[in-house]
Amino acid sequence: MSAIDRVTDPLERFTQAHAARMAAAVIVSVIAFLWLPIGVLVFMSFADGGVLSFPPDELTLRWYREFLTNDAAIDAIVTTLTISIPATGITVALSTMIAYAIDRYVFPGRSWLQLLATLPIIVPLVVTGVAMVLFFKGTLGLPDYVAVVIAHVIRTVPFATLVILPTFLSFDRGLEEASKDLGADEFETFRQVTLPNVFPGVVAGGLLAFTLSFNEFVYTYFVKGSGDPTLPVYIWNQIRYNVTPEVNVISVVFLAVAVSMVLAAVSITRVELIAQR
Amino acid sequence: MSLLRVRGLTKEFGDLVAVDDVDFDVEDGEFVSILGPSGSGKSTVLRMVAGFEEPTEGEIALDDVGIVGSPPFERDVNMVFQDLALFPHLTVAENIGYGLKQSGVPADERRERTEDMLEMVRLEGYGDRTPSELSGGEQQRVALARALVNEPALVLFDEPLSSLDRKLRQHMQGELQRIQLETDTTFLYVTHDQEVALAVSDRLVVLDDGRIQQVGTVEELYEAPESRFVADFIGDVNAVEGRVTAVEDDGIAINTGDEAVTVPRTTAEEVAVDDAVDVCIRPFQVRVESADADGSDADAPADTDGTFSTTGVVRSRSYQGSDSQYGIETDRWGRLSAEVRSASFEIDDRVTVAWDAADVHVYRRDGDGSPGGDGGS
Repeated sequence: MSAIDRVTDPLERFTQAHAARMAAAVIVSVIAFLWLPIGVLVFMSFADGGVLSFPPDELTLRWYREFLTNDAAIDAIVTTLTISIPATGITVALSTMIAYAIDRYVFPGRSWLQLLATLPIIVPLVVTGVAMVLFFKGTLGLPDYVAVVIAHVIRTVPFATLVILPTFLSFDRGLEEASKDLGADEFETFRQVTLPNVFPGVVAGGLLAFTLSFNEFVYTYFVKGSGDPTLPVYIWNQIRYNVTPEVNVISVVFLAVAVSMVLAAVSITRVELIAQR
Repeated sequence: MSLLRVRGLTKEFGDLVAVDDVDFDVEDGEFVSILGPSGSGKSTVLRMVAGFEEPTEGEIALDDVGIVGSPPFERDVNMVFQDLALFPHLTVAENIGYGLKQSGVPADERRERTEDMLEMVRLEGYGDRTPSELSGGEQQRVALARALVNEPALVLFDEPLSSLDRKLRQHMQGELQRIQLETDTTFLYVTHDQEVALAVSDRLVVLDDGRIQQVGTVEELYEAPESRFVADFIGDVNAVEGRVTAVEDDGIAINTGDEAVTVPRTTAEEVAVDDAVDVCIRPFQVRVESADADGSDADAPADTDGTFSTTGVVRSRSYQGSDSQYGIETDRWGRLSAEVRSASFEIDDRVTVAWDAADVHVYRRDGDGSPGGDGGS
């Protein structure tokens, strides 16, 4: 007698009997709603027509050429990188230190640090955005660039910490004892033993931080003010007035950057893990 | 002057006294084992010598220089860890050369000494592999080489063989002895496994519940255990309950249920008349002979001066190569075990069991005589 025969509640019976099909339906819908529009977007970036009409008359690389000669778009990418690269560096350093502290030390406020580091994930972006405008620009009077970089760091630190922390928690502290036993002091032990072993996690955290920062829109839009737009803000500005096929192209470029970053993160972590086995 | 001198070493973790006033020495070139059950504090002693734990009280001196308070990386000792702790991100050669690199040995000398070590532990040509590509026994050798290559004054072992199967463990024991002799290094080895400890050590430090029970050579511990714990822990022992009936200058009279038998004074702890005692005898010192088949007890042997004896029935036997171990249900003392070399008995045979009073060890029963302490380590 299988478990399902003992269930008497009809709803429960239905759930038990059709759980697999229901799960499949949910997965298919999620994929459809998430990826179908993206698929259409990618397809439309090759469409010849000047407007968002489906299906297109002809396929072309014309919009890609236009994108490459569009100085405003290229400037937007450069602007984004000048923010994302330093923001990623700061985030990786901060997150690594936070993860190390949470892993190693029992100190007053340890659980608070853990909470504070990850809390920004659940605070509504718009609320933090408004708060940062008030504080960074109103109260502190920081320049736009500094304020945006800080905003990106705040946005990315929680995610990077969540990625980096497990590699610290799973690291065998016995290796550090072995290193010290063999004559390496605290710093050399961290450099030669701890860091190489947590490195995959740190790299993965950094790639995630970069991707998030590169895509960041809400904070940037609030804090950035009237300066050069970042790529997401540039796209937003374009699409507000009319949807050009070039926006499709930029979106595809965007997607490619994000996906390749994630893939890079995954493969680096994997490769390192396999090497350790 | 001893190479390692430990005096009054005490370690408390909160209310728990893990190591309690421990004194011992290790001489240059010795192989000393600290033997004790789980939770006896033996690993804590080792970790204090290595510098991973700070003693609550006491002194540790290496080459006559106090080392308490100095960090592990400044101590001239190297450890072979229980889980080996080989660096997974480095090759075998890099693992072995790690200590030399830290002390600034130039790369070519490092390579040469690493090669020599690989040869010493019989892993020539394994230098470029990663630890994960090696078997358990090979990893043990790498861990050993990584400690030895630094030519430390003292090598510490934290039960590194416990994860190996019996055959490989015995092989590695032999290797350890060979390497210790070849490198002329001093070894301090911690284990709960008396078989390993007896096989490899020059001297043993028996620890229980954080306290030293006895320090001595294997022979001393086996032939003259100072406590019931040591008697039980080092080899097998039979214990028979008795009561002291007289204490005299040349011996102690003990009644184990029949006539009192006088045992030599030298084997006993301080006892007084009416004390409850355990009379302990090694299985190999128990004599077993066939009794009359008719089962008549008419001429059953009784205790006489100089001999303990009774009758019994063979309940179990197991071959152990050259001799056999018998479990005998005796009429007066319950189940005893005996190792017999020449004779052969069948199960249910009636036998007489006897041993000389001169061979026994007598310990006061104070309820805390058995080895154990099954607390966590």
